[in-house]
Amino acid sequence: MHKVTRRAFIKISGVSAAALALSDGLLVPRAAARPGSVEKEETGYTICDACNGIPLCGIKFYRTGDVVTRIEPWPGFPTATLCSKAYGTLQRIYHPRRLKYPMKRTRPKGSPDPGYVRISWDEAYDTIVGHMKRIREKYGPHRVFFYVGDPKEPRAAVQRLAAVFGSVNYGDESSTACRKGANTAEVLTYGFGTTGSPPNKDTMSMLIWGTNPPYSGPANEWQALLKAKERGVKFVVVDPRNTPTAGILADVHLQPRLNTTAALAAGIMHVIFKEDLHDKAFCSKWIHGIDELKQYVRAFTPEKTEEITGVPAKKIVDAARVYAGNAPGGMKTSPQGTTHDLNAGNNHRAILMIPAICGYIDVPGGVEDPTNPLEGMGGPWSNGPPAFCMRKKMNDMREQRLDLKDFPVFAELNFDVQTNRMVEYIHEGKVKAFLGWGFNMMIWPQTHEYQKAFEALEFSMAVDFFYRPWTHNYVDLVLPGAVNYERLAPFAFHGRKLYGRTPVRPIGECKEDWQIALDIGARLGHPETFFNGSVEAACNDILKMWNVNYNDLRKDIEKGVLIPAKKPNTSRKYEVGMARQDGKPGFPTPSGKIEAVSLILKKHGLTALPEYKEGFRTTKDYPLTLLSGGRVPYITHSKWRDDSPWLLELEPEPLLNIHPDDAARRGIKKGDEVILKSEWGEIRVKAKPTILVMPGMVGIMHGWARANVNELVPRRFDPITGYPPFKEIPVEVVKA
Amino acid sequence: MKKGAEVPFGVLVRFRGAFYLLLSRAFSREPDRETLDGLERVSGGLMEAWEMMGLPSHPDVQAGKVLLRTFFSGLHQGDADLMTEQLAREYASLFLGVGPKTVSLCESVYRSTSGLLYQPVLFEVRQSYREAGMAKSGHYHEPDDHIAVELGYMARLCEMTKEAAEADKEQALPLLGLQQAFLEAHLLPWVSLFARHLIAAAPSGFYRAMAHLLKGYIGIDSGLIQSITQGLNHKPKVKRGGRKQAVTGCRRTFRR
Amino acid sequence: MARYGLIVDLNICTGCMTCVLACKQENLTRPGIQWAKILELESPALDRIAYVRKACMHCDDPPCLESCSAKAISKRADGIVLIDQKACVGCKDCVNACPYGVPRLNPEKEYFPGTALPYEKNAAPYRTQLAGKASKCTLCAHRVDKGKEPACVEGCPSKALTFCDLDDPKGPIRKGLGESRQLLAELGTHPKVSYIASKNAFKLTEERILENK
Repeated sequence: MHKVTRRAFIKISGVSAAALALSDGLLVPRAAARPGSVEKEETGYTICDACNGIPLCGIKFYRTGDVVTRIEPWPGFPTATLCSKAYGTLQRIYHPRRLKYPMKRTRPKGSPDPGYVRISWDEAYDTIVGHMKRIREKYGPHRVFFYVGDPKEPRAAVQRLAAVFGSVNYGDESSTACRKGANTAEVLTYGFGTTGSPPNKDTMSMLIWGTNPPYSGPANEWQALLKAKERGVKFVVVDPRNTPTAGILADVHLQPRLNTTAALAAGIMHVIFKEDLHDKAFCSKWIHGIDELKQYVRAFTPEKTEEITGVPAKKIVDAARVYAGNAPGGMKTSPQGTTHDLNAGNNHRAILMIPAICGYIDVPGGVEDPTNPLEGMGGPWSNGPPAFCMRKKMNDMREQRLDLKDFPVFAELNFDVQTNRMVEYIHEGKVKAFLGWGFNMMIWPQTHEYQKAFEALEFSMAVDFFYRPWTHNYVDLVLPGAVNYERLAPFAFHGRKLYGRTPVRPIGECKEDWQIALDIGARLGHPETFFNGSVEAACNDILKMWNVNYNDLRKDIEKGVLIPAKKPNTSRKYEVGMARQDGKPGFPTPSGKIEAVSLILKKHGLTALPEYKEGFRTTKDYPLTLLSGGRVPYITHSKWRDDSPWLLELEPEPLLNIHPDDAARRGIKKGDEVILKSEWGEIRVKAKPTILVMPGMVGIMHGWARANVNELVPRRFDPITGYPPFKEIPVEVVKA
Repeated sequence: MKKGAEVPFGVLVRFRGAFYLLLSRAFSREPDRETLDGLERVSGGLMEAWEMMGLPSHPDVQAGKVLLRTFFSGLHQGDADLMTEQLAREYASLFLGVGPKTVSLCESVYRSTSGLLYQPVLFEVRQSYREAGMAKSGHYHEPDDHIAVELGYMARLCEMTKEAAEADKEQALPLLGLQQAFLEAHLLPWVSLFARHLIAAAPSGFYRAMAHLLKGYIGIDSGLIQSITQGLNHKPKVKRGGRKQAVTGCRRTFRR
Repeated sequence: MARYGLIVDLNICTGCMTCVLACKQENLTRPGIQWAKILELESPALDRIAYVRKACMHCDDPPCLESCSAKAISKRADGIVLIDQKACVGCKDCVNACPYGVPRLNPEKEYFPGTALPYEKNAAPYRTQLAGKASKCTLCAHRVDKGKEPACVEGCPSKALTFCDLDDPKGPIRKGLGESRQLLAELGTHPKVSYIASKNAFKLTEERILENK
């Protein structure tokens, strides 16, 4: 037995008392459990946010109390099943490095270590609202920029916040480098946005351009394509890469050089016109500028087109005949893949003209435009319902938009602000504060310039799941976001079907994005406008458009709630006055027709026809061209990597796809470390010789912090969309 | 105060309780000035008591003691407010996910092949708390198997043991059994590993010190429990599965 | 009694890796362990990059079972071949015996900082992967017993995997079975996983498997 003297006893009594004062009451009394009583396993439902898509896929999960234990596809959900990344979300929710508390920096911006410490939500919110009010008073409300990257889910809530605060300057990842570029081209051409529609029983051919659905889209889209192939639908696939889409579906696979899209499209249209395969009646009645278009493509003979694009003349002719000769033809384009070069706007417009001249627009089996989109939603959640978002109020303030002068066409056709010139806006004092949900500086070309600019902001905040040094080292406050399993908002919808979610309690002090936006709005002084912070009440405000509320979604959560359509499906809506706001026949364009010659482009002094414009030339020093961002199925942009080691393990480091011939010429073997360089920057990566890419072309995924390919991309922007040339950079590759 | 066999019993239990409280508070959240003063008092007192009781020296405890002494003397000589803020930064960097090398404080991470939080072992820990009539406070936003909660549980059990013994020594036995069982099932298997990680990752002396203290103390606590149990002139009843017996005893003690 | 197998249609596999992740999530395999692996084949003889799912073939005459000195491998009445990790002694006889290079020893590694601890107490034994023991695809026997398909089959976005009872005359498999072939059939292990693929893809796959062994 140990000696316990009286001295020791007194010492320990004193220590014990002092120790009790240290206790933080981590354990509290609770009625003892019966032996053997265990928390039961129950089911839950949520949607996945692993990719960049929206609408999203459904996940059914199993929970023990508030702990998610395993997942499976949501039975009967429209997207059919899940992808590899969805399974990674299970590993993410309980990742030990998840942010759980609001954090603020304690060292000045520019310090190598920001010195983040934990703060309370109260202090975080007071800080944010304090800066917002101060900046509004000193400089005006438009100096605060509101941004939502990914997940796209809270865009409606953040727009409402911006509107009520009084700032027109709301932007997102879609208006920076994604959907809105192609959307601009689509609206200029057709008057409405579309990336095509899945083939159905009436479809006889499909034009798939610049997209690889099995790697970038939900399962139901790919399954519809496979079924169509089985049925005998003819496929023309245009993609510089040898993707599974091309390999499995294509009857004709065209592999053009980068940034020759408009030339290839012109070449295809040349054949279609020459062989009288176009829909003459439709062209003369419904296409504005058809004669100019015909005249323009006359020069693009198959031989000339081959010279420009590298696609064999015979294949161009085959493609034209297969697509135009098997009516009706559908289309599947990428939300952004063909808008990542310096002729982005017109390149994409050129693609759109092909089904147009064939008369495939809004016909059964062709490029179908939904008759009955869910009214009031204004598109997917990446936009947000116009009324809830106070879109009209924002529109009334449009003169204050940052991008008005730089990208007038973009600003005219999109409510979200183009952010590529954020560096200048900050340095010119036009942006003083930045509030970003799920944003990532690596989205911008020459990322370091934006990081430097952010250091000059008076205040910035970020919401995220993990600490991202490449972004958070340059902001003032980081807030811990709740992951998909932990979020109630928004409800999901596909077509006219609504689906609810059953969230688990967020870990730590995480809050969902909608919650944060509503809380800030309430604290700004508008508690009622922001539903007193109730996320469910906010959802109900939207759901009431269809006379339902969240409890209705809960009733049979697996099945969802169908909002019946009011009108029967109608095709050729342009003929019967169902395509325009004013009810007149025609397309919702200034001319009332599909515009080969765009009146809006003309008005702004830009090239009105979808003309080919030569891009960067390769040189002796930079003889290859780089396509960055070609999809890898288990990664999305810069999401993932460390977030889920299950996924990271599939490709733990950035791999440069290089054609075996180009690799051999440079003495490069599989796994060799190489330097990929352009005139504007360089990165060090591993080589993977593969026929996935063509000779003369290399490809790599963006979003690797240790090898940020966007440092190789210059800050030059397509005048129509404002997009940088991610997919046409002259480069060289050398062994490291 | 009774003399004789009760004195060692009560003192050792208090000593252990204080040690657990010290360690729990070191990891539960970043310390403010006031807490640092408390930690200094308690750690200093415990080290003295250690010597007074003639407990065998342990290299980790010794290392922790030295590091702490250096840390606290630095605190008194330098800018205490600055150092406290620096400690908050270090806590955030080590444990809250903003630093380059996060060290997890939760048993799940070390005990599951997946290395994730909220793994099955958490439910076992929660069940242990329940069977002792306790639950993790809803105000603490960390999982049940966070080191601070587990250490806090042990501290609470020590307190309950002391209270129980004041009524009837026999009542203390099942509580000691619970402590032994929890130590074996939920502290010994991972604390050493966690401590090694923290020692490798922590830049300043404070968290390295606490890691050493934790590692050292957990290593010897089993022996201390045995001492106490023997001191009650009973053979230790605890073995694998001894928890069940302890539960019955516990319920008997706490019927309202 | 059923005799379970799989048909893998390489003509529509896109290499999306969903089956790899669905399996990993279902069974919580250790780092670096992929019970379903995707081989990438490129060759002038192929018209595109071929993605080949390789996993346990659940042979009717499994060399792994015969080679196992600890008698840890067994074949159920329904044909599913299973390794009992508790009985396994980690000798690697099965690893060497399998002509398809399927079984692997579970590493000590774990996904997050922390070296291995010897066991994990887990309510679901099928999700417990012991370090140092051999493991491989179990055809999700735990799901099959509940009337469900293996996780990879359910998860495949292209529906390139078909789970079937090879003996069922009315099964959906009949058409597929006719077109499909077994890899390295001449070795006589009678694998119950067979493939629909072009002749060249088939040949190249067999070559790759023999190379990697």
